[in-house]
Amino acid sequence: MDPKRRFLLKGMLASGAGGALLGSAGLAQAALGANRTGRVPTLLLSGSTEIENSFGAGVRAALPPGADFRPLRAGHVDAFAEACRSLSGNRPLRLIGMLDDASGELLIARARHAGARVSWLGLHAVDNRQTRHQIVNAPGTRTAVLALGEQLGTSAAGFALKSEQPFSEGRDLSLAGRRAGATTSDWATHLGHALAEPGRPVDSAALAARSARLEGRFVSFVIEV
Amino acid sequence: MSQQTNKVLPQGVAESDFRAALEQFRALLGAENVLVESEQLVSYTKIMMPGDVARNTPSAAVTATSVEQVQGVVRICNRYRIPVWTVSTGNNFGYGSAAPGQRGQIVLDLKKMNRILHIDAELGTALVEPGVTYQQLYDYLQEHDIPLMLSFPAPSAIASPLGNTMDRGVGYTPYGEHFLMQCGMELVLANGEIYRTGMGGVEGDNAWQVFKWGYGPTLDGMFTQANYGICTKLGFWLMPKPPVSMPIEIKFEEDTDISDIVEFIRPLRLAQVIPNAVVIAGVIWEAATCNTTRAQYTTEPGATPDSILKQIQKDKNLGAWNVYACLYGTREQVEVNLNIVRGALQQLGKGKLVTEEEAGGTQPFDYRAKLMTGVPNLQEFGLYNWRGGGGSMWFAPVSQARGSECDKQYGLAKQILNKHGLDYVGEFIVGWRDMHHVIDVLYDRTDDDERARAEACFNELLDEFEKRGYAVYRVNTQFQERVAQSYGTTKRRVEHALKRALDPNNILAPGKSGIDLNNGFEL
Ligand SMILES: Cc1cc2nc3c(=O)[nH]c(=O)nc-3n(C[C@H](O)[C@H](O)[C@H](O)COP(=O)(O)OP(=O)(O)OC[C@H]3O[C@@H](n4cnc5c(N)ncnc54)[C@H](O)[C@@H]3O)c2cc1C
Repeated sequence: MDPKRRFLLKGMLASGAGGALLGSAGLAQAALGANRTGRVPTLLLSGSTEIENSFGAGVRAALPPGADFRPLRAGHVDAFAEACRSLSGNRPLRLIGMLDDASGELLIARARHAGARVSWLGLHAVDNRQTRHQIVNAPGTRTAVLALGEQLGTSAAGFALKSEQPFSEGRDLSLAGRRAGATTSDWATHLGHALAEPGRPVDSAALAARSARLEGRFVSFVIEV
Repeated sequence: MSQQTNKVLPQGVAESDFRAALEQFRALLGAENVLVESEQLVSYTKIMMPGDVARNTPSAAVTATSVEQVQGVVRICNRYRIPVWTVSTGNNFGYGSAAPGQRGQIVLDLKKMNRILHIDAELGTALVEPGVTYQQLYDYLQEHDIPLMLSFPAPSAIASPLGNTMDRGVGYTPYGEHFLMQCGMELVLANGEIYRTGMGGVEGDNAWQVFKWGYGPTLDGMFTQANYGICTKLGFWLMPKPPVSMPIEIKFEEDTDISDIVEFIRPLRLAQVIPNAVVIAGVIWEAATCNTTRAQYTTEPGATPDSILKQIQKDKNLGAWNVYACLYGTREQVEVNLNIVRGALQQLGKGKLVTEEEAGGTQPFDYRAKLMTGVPNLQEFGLYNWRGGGGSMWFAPVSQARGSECDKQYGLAKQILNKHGLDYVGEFIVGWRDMHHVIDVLYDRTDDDERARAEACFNELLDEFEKRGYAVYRVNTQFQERVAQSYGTTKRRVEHALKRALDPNNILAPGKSGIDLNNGFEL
């Protein structure tokens, strides 16, 4: 394991190897080939301009030119209402987004009510000391967990990433790093990219220029109608 | 289908039996109403309790559209001994949300049974199915120009009268004690039979929604916060819309004022001068519901220092305690009552009364006024942004409506919360003679240390309050067994005897309020 990347992979990956320690490089690669999202229109819901400029930038960067993609206006009440309406519509659609806790709670409740499929549900807490991420995800977005883990392991300050797998016994993933002195990373941009294109490796170099720093508490989600 | 994405099974049920049951659910309900894939179930796992999500993960969720289907679901569950957790709209945030109480239980989601069956504009009664929301009812009353007013909990727009009443929730109008206003239930029992309470069993009767008691034992209460039946219809009373509603706020400067506030309010409430379920909200509750976040003032971990709370109070023009009340009636009645309130306040010698005009549409006055006058809104969700991180548990001890009691409870709660690095985010709801002291234990679920502290804090709150003779009226599913212990063994033995008689296979929401035949209570 690269000593510069002092993060610990606890838990078990799909191999079921309890306590196995893996290097971060190639984690996402290892899981490539897992579910690819079909080409349905993508709706992006960002809770604020900062989210749009980080998470949203990642989503945009991931989608191929010409992809059917529509961002809703960041932080706007009507945007939230429109996103909720889209959940109950008949049109197949993928809603990717990041919101504050209150709006996130409401949106997931709406998704449940509409019978939509939630393949990713993340809680994120980021301040100048560390970033913490807690994910409940379906297998189709497992690569996004690994991509996020890889990104955090490479460039984050202290971080903790926990991916709960409540639907499959004993497969929680838990990563933690205690790197001193590093600044908060552009984790949200990478996450946006990984969620928009779970099957494609994240091009970190291309993303660096696009990302903006994002701090606070957030809920991320991928919902399919 | 990709059932392999979900490996959860109901406890004690063999995989082959579960598969057979799922096939029967599909035949009964249609495949689209039987949810088994993890993507379909993630939204049922958005819990806010400190335990791992896995504890409350369902094996499946099924949606029914008719009473007959509910009966069918119950029969299949009996056949295969499958435990089933029922939700109406499933928005029980801070009490367990839409997740089952125990891992592997299937969720019976009644959101699609959403017919408003009857509104009687003259008698002020309603009969609804489980999936009807307060917003839906509100829209119906507006559209049909029916001069009745709703009473609802703060998540009004998306919550259901039936779900809220079954969990004995509260609202903020004179009809705020919702179970008190309930009149007539229809229940599917564990054996599939249909039981109607009150007058509902009498052939041809039309008094089901106007006379609660019927004949002989009155059993309605037994089905609330319980697991003896699945409620498929609920009747309740609606308040005639008064010609004038006057919401007011009274701000108090010091947190030591709580005792005086309660002594001031109680006589006015008992005499029905102020007839609604008055709220006395603490400063953080107020701050959060006018979109203030903790991070705007500090990023230091732990409890927010009092000095910062004072600063917020000043910046946002809040009281340390903020009383919300509403006067209803004709203009003359309201004026008379307002004068009585002003007189009592003058005698008290503190507190600043604010009218709706003076508040000028600002938060949190605006949403409080809406709650007290029956207009749905979701402003109170701002609480979740105070600290953020998705952790929330309601700690809701009951007390007498006495100043000294509230003072004692407030001091104790704040001290325990602060000791665990958490904030006192609380309000008192003044009932008829009681106080529901509602505290949102907010914490960051992404932080394992804070999660552990929140859990320890909740346990300590329960323990320390119990030592002083207090207990909560309702709790989230992680702590339901612990709270049942506070109420004594005899009660538990009676509850389990009823369970054994009505649901011998233990299929209806085992664990709800600590009632589970696996607990081994015998009468
Ligand atoms: C910001 C905020 C403020 C809140 N304020 C209030 C408040 O003022 N007052 C209040 O009471 N609550 C409040 N809550 C808590 C909660 O959201 C409400 O009580 C809400 O009404 C419960 O959700 P629901 O109506 O969807 O009921 P459900 O979640 O559908 O039902 C609640 C419970 O009742 C039982 N149940 C439901 N349906 C049936 C049935 N058909 N048969 C048998 N049992 C059944 C189940 O145990 C279920 O878990 C608040 C929550 C938040 C986030």
